[in-house]
Amino acid sequence: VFTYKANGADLTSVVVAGSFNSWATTSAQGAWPLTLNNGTWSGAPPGALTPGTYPYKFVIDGSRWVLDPTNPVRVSDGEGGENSVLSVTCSSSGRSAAAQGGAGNAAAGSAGGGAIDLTSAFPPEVRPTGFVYDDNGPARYVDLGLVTAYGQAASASVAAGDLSALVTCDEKADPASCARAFVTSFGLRAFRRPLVQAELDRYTRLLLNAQNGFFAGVALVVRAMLISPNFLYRFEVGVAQSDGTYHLTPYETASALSYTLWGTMPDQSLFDAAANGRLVTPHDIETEVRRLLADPRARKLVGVFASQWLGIENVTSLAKAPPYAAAFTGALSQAMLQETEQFVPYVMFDGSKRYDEVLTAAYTFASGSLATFYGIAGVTGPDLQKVTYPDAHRSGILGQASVLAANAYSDQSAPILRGLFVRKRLLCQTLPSPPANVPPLPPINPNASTRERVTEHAANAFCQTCHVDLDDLGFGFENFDAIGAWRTDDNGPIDSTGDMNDVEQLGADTHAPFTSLPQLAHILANSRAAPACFVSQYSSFARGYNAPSSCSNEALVARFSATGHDMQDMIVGLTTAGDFVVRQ
Amino acid sequence: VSALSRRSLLRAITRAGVSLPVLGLLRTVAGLGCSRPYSSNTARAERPLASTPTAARRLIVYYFPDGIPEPPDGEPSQWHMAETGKDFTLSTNLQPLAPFRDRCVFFNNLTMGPIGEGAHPEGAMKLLTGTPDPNRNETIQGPSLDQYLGRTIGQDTPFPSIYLGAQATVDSTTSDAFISYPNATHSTAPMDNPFSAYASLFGKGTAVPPTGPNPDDVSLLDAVAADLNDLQAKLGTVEKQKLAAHLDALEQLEKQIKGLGVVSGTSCKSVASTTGALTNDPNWLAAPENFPAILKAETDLMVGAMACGLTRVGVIQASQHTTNLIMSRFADTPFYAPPGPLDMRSHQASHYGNQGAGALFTDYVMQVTWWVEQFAYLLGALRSLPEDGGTMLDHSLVLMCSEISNGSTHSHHNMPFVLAGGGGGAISAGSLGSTYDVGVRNHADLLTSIAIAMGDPATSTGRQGFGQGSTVGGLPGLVG
Repeated sequence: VFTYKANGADLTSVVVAGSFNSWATTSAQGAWPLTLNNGTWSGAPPGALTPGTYPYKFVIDGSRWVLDPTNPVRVSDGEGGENSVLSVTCSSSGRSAAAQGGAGNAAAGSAGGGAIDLTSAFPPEVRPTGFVYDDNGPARYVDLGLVTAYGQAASASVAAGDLSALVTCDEKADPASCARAFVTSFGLRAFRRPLVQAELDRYTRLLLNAQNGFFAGVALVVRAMLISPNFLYRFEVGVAQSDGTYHLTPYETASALSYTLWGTMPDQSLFDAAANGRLVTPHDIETEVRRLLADPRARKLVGVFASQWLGIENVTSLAKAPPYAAAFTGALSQAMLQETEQFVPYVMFDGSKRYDEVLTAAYTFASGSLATFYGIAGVTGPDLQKVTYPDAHRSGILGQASVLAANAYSDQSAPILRGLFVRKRLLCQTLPSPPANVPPLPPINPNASTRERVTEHAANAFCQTCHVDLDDLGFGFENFDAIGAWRTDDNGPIDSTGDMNDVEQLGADTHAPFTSLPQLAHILANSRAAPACFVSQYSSFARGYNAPSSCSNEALVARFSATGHDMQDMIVGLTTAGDFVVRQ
Repeated sequence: VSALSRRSLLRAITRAGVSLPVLGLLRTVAGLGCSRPYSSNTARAERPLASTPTAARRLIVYYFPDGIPEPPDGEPSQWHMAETGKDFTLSTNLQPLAPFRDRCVFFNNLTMGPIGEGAHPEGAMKLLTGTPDPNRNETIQGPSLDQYLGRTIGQDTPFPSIYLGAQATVDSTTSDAFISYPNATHSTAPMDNPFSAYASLFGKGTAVPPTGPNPDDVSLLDAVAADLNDLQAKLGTVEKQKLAAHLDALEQLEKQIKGLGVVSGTSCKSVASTTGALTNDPNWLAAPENFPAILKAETDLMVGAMACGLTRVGVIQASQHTTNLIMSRFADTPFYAPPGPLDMRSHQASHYGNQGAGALFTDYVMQVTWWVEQFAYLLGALRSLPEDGGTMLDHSLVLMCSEISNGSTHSHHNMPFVLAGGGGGAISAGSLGSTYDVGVRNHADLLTSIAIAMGDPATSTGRQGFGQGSTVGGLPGLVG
């Protein structure tokens, strides 16, 4: 499904032109027309395409060529520009299968890469209180809703794919051994380990006993394996040792590494390393970790971590009010999210690798609309590129619009939320919940600034016990409005002086005044608490639970400090520490 | 060879997959009291007492966020009735229930105990688990009533229970935002996308194929169940609970495949049209102005699922506590305001202070009345469908609730519970149409009464109450 949001623009036509229709620019010539519904143009390929990759673009009003903003997959057009890429791994049957899988047939916005999105119908994953990452081991149960969703996704997969591509042997000559060969190879990938004899027998029997022939049996095995606990759970159980500890098996280690670093299953090299006993010593593991880190999949997962760590996943669905709503278009909020998801991995893999740069960078990534939003000239189109801020207003993630817009109300800035963001996300400080029976908010005074109203609200001594740690810090962000745009007036000139008080510990009554975000960034980068918090945040993401403060964590923090806050080394340290493969 | 990329297929699924935690952690969790496996077989073997009234056919819980307006002492409540018994004046907030007054029981003086820190999340945890008081060092302990009943009396339907949401996962997916607890410590999230919910509930059709179940599907489940059994032998207690939950799910799937228990009653009509007015786009589904249409669609889906016999137990969770839902963008409501400086969020209005007047208070009263109107819509939908000489509403129990009482003080006393329907005679004639008030009682007693009315064996035989602070037998005179 292709979608294009007009964002209020009055367009006459949007068509899809690409190698599949000889780059026709009008529907009369064979371009694929999109239809307008509720401000969004959408449509699907008119028929089945043979598997392959196809460059394409949207043509607006017959003449304006644009990339597909919802599709991150691009390829050079050989003339200095780019085209979007449609990857067909499944033909028209894929669309009906997607509908069967619950994705519905309306514009689901899941056209990325042209492949069907099997996960869109999956229930959201519940995050325990205080745990901001989506993969939490203790909270994760497979219930009927999940089994149903997974089962439907598995059915959609087998309905969409060419199963014969999975079978490399001659099923007619010797069905029994061919079935066993298929179960062996597919099972290794699905379960991330070789199948044991009983499993091999069981699934081979399932295949051969299917009602409608060999390939119906292949489909059955795929569907079964994809709702098996061996597929759905990551097994990091280990083997009991004489000293009472448990050592992960080489295959479990391979799986733990690939999910920790890539968020997906091991590749062939990792399987080979497990099979050949090359995943045992810390040195073995470090070799693999460094190889995995060099892969684009590692970069992508760090982007996922960044959006969850900073709490900006929902920025694209935030409701903003006038006068902000008009500027806060889908394309702009999407670019805001992408900005942060590209920036943090960039620092880790291409920049200094140091955590400090996450806070202090004077550069970021922006699309044309986001660059304009930041007052940066010379960027056009939906693709993000590295840009340098024209002034010292912004600094690293503190100044990124995603963070500022997510920590604001629909119609105004929110110093309290922004102060809370720094305390919780960057310093790992825990404030008590707001008390019951808070005094009523004062009536909104249309002539007062946000700072004045918040100050008045929290004026009494009782409120001050907590708000002293929120408001003075949050006021430092007051030059940024409800969507993170720079402003100098809020019912009068803005006072954005702030105080990063109690930076190391709440209640310590220390003070660190600042007058700009770059100053705040340096206070944080030079603190003990912020880098230690970063280690703790990443550990929680990687381990799937909030790591209690332990010797292991303290050692990681010490190592982080000794390397000048090298974030890549932090990952190496975490995955090569003894407790990664030896569990109590 | 790219026809079906195994790797991308697997990646697509495993990215949203699940992970078993490490053993060291599991011990900690087990120490919190995780191990209370519920044996539905034991419970089912026991016969209800002969005096147990006719069981209600179904239970639907309707939840709305952020409490109710309860002005300080001396002023009339906007929700609770001043008079007890049947002779009372319906309160401001409950006016939408006037057409159903004789089918409702309005509760005064039900308490969830004192509040600790964070009364909103704590209230959501207490609400259906019946846990009375975490300040007494009692861990919040699931399962919640809906999940419990799913296991005791919901085993003969394709879905033991159904949990639907309306923008309930938009603000966050934090565990304490949800009211349904399948196990002791962790909640589950509702199905929040009406399109996905429809596909899950009705995607396979509700009729058994004339040729019987597909033998391939049955042997598929057998193979996966065998995987589970192999693992059960190898793993520790908590992992076993996870696998048991997985096995339960497979058994339910098997029942669905075999078509067991599906009743295509006269009121089981197509519900395909419920999503007709909606757009299956994540941003559309998250927009506040679309909330009323989404809640209506989820309500219709629940009623449709009940009419088709897909389940006997359902929960509809509207939004989540402390929500940023901008209710002032609901069109055609008295509290509508154009997007702008007058944006009014649910949680914002609920902190009206104690002035009992002013814009926040006025908006809050109207907002809560709107939530009650949506409950009335649910009751109306049930009453519009005939069932056994009466209507579906006659045979149902429908519970309205919120996680706190007073939005400003966050009190857990005098909670806003209304029980509608009649449960096919399970609720006493003396209680229906009355303000029920027997002095301060724990809300777990109400949950116990509901379990009894639903024919749950353990509570209706007087063996136990539901929840930690409940009385065996529940609230006096309510059932029977």
